[in-house]
Amino acid sequence: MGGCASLPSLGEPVNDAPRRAALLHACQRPQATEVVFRTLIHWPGREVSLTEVVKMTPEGGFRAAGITDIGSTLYAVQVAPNGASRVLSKSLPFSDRWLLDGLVAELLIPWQRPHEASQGTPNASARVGEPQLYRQSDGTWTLVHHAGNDLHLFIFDADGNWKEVRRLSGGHLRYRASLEWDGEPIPKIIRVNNPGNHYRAVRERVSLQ
Amino acid sequence: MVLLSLLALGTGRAASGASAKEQAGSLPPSELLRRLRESRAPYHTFATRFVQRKHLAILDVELQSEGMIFFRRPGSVRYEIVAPVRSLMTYDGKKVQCYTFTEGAWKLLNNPAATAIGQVLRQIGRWIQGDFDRDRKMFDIDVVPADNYAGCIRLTPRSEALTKYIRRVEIYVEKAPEYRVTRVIIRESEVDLTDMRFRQELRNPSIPEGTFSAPEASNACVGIFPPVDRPDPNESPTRSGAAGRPPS
Repeated sequence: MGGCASLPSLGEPVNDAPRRAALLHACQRPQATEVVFRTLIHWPGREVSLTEVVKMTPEGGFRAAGITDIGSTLYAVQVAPNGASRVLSKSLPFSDRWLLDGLVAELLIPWQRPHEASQGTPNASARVGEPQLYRQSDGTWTLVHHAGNDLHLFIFDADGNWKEVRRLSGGHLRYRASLEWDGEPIPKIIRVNNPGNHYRAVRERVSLQ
Repeated sequence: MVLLSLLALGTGRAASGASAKEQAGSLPPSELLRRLRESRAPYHTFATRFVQRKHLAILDVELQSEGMIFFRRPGSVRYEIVAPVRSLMTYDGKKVQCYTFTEGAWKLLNNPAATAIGQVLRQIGRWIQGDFDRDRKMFDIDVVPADNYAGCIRLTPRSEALTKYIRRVEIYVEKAPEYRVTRVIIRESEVDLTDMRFRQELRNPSIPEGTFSAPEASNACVGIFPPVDRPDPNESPTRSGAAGRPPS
């Protein structure tokens, strides 16, 4: 999928409140308060490995940091419960926005799940206020969530397991992440493709509290 | 720059003839540095294990990792993290290679920082030989007293640019006759630090083939260390926590 792709085909809109509720229930926000990931980032012709730590604050926000293999801090950020984020420290040759909208947003995917207020108008057949649940011909399901100018697509397999998330802005794909689960509340592996920033990232969960 | 901590290898066990008077207090700075350098002279290869604790104040977390370092004169270095994740940097005197262990296999990285890492690894090589001379361009070096140690060598960056990333490196040298560095603290800020403790240093060990170039040598490298059947003195309560009250 390219970075300037139009909206993906979501399939048929489905007015199935029990199904929608079941999918929402299946991906409730995890109670994990501290998670460590091993991350490998690929750009064309170069790669960087690091360790990333996410800690949830008692107020419902987050603090996160990236650390190099030799122990130095690459970045440290804070995300308020309302989603406002800021960089506390950074030794990366990128802007704060690049970091917050890219690496950090992708790092927090396991906590950025759809909620009951999910709604949107992703295609002409949908109307605001209708349940934004879609079904593909292969049996997969998609929940659509509008967040400002962004569109979040939460994609589930036919059994209702959350397997992918896509974030689009203005019709452009910001990132696409596939999730591999092993029974824990945080995915075992998260694979991200960020075409706008020209990188792919693989996060492997190292520890979970 | 956190690899400054590897200076510890350069100040390992020394066959020192220090007097009882010297054991009671800190050596003069130049004397301690001289002894460290001389103590390394008889050895061609070194290997040590380490435990590294990274404290991040803003997250109120402490990340612990374990690893090992190998060195062979004149400047080959292997720096490997073995747990909880695995990563490796090698320098064979010509080429720097960075690896990560991901999805069940070693992966060679095309790391954009390889040149800088190579500089640091060469710097480590000098330290391992007890050579601080070139560091004086970048750091002020002094030695201060530290409880239970022969002294603490402090490297303070001269430039503000470097101070932004590292405030100071503190290298704790055990009292005579060992003159062994067992702890290095790298202070990134007033509250964030990396604390490395070294154990099981081997001098003049046989170096497994591929140590300075191949990730596959990992098991062989681990294998040269004897099993830990009793606590390392470095891990005892008197050497842990606020050991020696590191100078502020």
